[in-house]
Amino acid sequence: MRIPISWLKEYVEVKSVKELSDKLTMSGTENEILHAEKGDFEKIVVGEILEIKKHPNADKLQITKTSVGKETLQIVCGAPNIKVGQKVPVALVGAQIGEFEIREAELRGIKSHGMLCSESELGISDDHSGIMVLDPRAKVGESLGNVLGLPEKILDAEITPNRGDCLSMIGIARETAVVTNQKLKLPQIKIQEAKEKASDFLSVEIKDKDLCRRYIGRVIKNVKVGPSPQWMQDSLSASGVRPISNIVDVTNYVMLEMGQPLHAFDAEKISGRKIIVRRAKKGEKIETLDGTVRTLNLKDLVIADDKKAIALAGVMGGANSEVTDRTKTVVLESANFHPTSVRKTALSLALRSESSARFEKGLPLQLTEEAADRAAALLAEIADGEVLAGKVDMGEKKDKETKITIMFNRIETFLGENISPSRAIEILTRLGFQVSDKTKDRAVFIVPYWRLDVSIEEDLFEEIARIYGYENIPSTLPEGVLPIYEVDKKNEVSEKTRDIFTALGFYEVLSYSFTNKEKANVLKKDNDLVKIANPLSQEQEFMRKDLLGSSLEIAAKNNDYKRGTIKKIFEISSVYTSKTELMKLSGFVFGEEAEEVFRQSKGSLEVLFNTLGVAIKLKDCKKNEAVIIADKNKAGSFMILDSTIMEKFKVKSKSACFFEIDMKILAKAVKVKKYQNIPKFPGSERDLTFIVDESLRVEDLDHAIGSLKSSILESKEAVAIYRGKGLLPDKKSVSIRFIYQADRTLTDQEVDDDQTEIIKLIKDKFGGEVRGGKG
Amino acid sequence: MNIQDMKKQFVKDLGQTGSQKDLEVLRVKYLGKKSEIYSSLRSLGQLDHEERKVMGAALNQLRGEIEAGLKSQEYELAQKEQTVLDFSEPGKKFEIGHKHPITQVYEELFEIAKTLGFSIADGPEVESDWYNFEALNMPKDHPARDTQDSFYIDESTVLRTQTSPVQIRYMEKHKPPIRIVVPGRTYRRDNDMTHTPMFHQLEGLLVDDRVTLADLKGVLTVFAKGIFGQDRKVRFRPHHFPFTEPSIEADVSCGLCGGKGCRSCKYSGWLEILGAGMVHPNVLKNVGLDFKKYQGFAFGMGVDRITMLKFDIDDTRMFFDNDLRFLEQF
Repeated sequence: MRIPISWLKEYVEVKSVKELSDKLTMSGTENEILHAEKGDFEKIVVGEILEIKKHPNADKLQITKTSVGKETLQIVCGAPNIKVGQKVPVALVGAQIGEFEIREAELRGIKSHGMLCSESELGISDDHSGIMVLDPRAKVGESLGNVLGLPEKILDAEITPNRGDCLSMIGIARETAVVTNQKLKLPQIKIQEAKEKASDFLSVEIKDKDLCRRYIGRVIKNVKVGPSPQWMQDSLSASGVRPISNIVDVTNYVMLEMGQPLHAFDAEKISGRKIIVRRAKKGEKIETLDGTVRTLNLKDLVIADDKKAIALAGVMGGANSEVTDRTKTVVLESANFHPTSVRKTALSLALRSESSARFEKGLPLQLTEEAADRAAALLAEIADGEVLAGKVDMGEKKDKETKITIMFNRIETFLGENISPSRAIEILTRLGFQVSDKTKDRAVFIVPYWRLDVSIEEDLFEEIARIYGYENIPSTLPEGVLPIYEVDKKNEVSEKTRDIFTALGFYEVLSYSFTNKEKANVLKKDNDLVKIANPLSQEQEFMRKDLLGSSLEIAAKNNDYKRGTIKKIFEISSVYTSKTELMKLSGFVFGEEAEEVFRQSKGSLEVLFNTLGVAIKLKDCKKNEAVIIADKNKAGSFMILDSTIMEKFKVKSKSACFFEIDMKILAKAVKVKKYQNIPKFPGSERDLTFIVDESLRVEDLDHAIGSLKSSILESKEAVAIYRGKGLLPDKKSVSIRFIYQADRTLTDQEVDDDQTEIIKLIKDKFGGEVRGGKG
Repeated sequence: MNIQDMKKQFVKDLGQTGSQKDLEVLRVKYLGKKSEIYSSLRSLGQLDHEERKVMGAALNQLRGEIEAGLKSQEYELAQKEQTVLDFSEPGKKFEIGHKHPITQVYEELFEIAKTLGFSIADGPEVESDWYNFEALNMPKDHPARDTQDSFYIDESTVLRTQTSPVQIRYMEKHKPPIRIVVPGRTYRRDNDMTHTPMFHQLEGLLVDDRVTLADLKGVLTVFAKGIFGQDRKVRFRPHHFPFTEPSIEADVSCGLCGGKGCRSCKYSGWLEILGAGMVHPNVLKNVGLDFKKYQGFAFGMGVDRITMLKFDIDDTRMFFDNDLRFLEQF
């Protein structure tokens, strides 16, 4: 909401805009000063140029003697247009020009005590061709603000949804009065009423009392429609509302002033001079003031005459009852419509307005009458209208009074600051609360009618605290027993995973949980997808069921990054089905060499699992795909991607590997590692390289060696695989590292014997040739 | 050549050596089989006893001196050769990875939370309207729902707009004292420089029989200074959230201008970082806690925003663009 300071000053004194802005922000009305760049001409005064000399060291500079009343200053100036005798704006030392503060300066060796200003420097216009020349009648030494008029200052405030009362100048004035300790001056409403009674001219019937609690109609005859006076137009413009005509402007002015939206009808267009407040009929149509024909339904509330709808209650007037230049008699509506009803209608017709915004937050019933009177008085004043006596006032007249008891001892146990009862009462009283009853321990407060948001004791604590100042409440740390620390294993394992994977060269990515149908479900185990009913676009319509789609997308996006190298990304995120959300770790490794891509992928997982104390195994399940087994449980899948899918997602690398692991299962398998005794006797390490058929699996080789049940073989591990040069096409070489260990010093002979046995076995069982071993 | 001349000549020769190779040449010249010392030693037998004794001792001393000279020059040269190393030569390029800046900030926040006794909890992202809104004192058609334009799955299911529903889920299962933080993804229908439809929050909840607004200020100050630095100032302003009463927002002083006001903080000197407040009695009622006995506070921070402020990132969409050139900077 825009708060023009000049308007605010009609209700409360404002000494410093900056101070007010800060105080309002710190008491809950967050705001910023608009037009701040123009400054407020502080320390800028009218000066008269008495003398001009050439600068000895600079062609373009001149030295002036300029009188600012009490003294004469030496000021260096570079503008070409200055002449002796001119009255000019002088920024004194300490003045703020744009982002700079004026200081005493030395310009090429000559002291300068201020600055002569151009219009652009003052923020008045873009003209920077020369120094602004003022009216010769301007008084030397007078503040520039007094000569030019201060630029309008406006606070742009964010009103929180609970403070509907602050969507008005008077509401802001109330806050201002409290936070700056000033008196509030409310407008005096005096209406000269005609003899004729409004009730003889107009009747009102509220059919749906649940949606309209009060409806007041006032009748103003013989209005002269025309532009509203300048002061009103200025106030509206400064508030961001376009002036239209005096009648409409008055309704808007009072809405901005008091927070109660109003509407003016041309009385002659109300059939039967009867206003009926009712729900719309199904399919009923109305052309609103913006020229659009709207189709309504049973939920919408309309203002109707005895034939037709003439306005959408609280949202927008109808074209058929619009005030025009020819309007003679005006029916002024001030009503209390149901917040939710107005909100729904405004939302469904996409017609949010200043009016609906105020109804939606709820309005007090008392305000209906105040605003009707205020607007009637203004219409009489500025449109020469004749206000008919009394008003047609239907529905309830007053909200129920809210009373809240505050226990004084709770102020400290709740806020953590000992604010005395008398201070608390003083604050609340200034905010308009009345004490209805008081003892030593407690007080009962009557909530002012405009504060619909205050209903419980905690609300009062807030009122006390925000005026007392949050900055005056201490910062402490909670006492009390510490709860048992619950370890979130999934989170802990995620953190470790990030540490390990980044050390291994993986980049962590985070991608949207939603994507299009295809990318959301690349693995296509089934079609149980979670669909968003109102997505921003089709590209974000489905919740991901696997992380492969996103990985491919990211890989494609980074095709050109470090081309030719192996790139590795990972993400820890949830995937979704209609029944579950599972946190997954996904990894995507892509590059040119298939074998290296595979080895780095599997190797990274081995490092991760090993660090977590979990045994890992990849069990082939189908072509190019394996199940990841963590200890004994299926924890995820591991796959080599084929070129079709890579092309489809425009990934330019030749090969890629993807894996996805259920973090819950992994976290469950994590074990604390137990210490193993370091062997007392030296072990022996041997490598053997076998040339075997390509079809022989490393796993089978491993099993066969294991079947020998050697008592001295501590471990065996395939450390290198080789294919190609020097080998037949259907052969590969597998190098295995053997570690021998026993509770005694091993002899070469017994290790050699064991190796011989292994070599024999591989030859007999698989036809494998040993390629040479070293001891 | 007499011994004195030989010694002089050796010292001169030694002074001219510049490499191990030169030294080897000297070694051969003075101590080799063709050297004068060697042949002199061999021919000692031709001398008489006294002469032999004197000459022998002198030659052996000379040989010792030459050996020592060679050794010390060898060390000198080795020293010189070492300092020839060019320290501007590159180190080995290790290919390391990078944590996403958002998770880096999360990990920092967790560290702070742990020191204050908060456990980490989580909850679902596809959430019921009840947990996301109603139980948090935001009934249907509550105007505050406007500020959280939601993605709906169906009439009663949303993508959570905040991590606050986990407050409810946790309080349903745990009795006070409660201290938790809840990280997670949240969703709102926004998309511009400062909003993405998916973003990250960290929720905090503390419920006990004696908790005050002053405690909330204290805890938030620890978080804010912990993440932005001890030299930053923190301030608290009243605000409004349906599930807290009173509600506050916290700002830290702007890191770019030090609080004087600049473009980055819209000339206010302050940057908003989080919302918080004392848990509304209706929320405690909704989970069956005795709101006369227990009080609590809750806070919610936008982790993406905090990350932007911390690392000077001006477009929040960069976080989910996953350009490796962006990620490798953190």
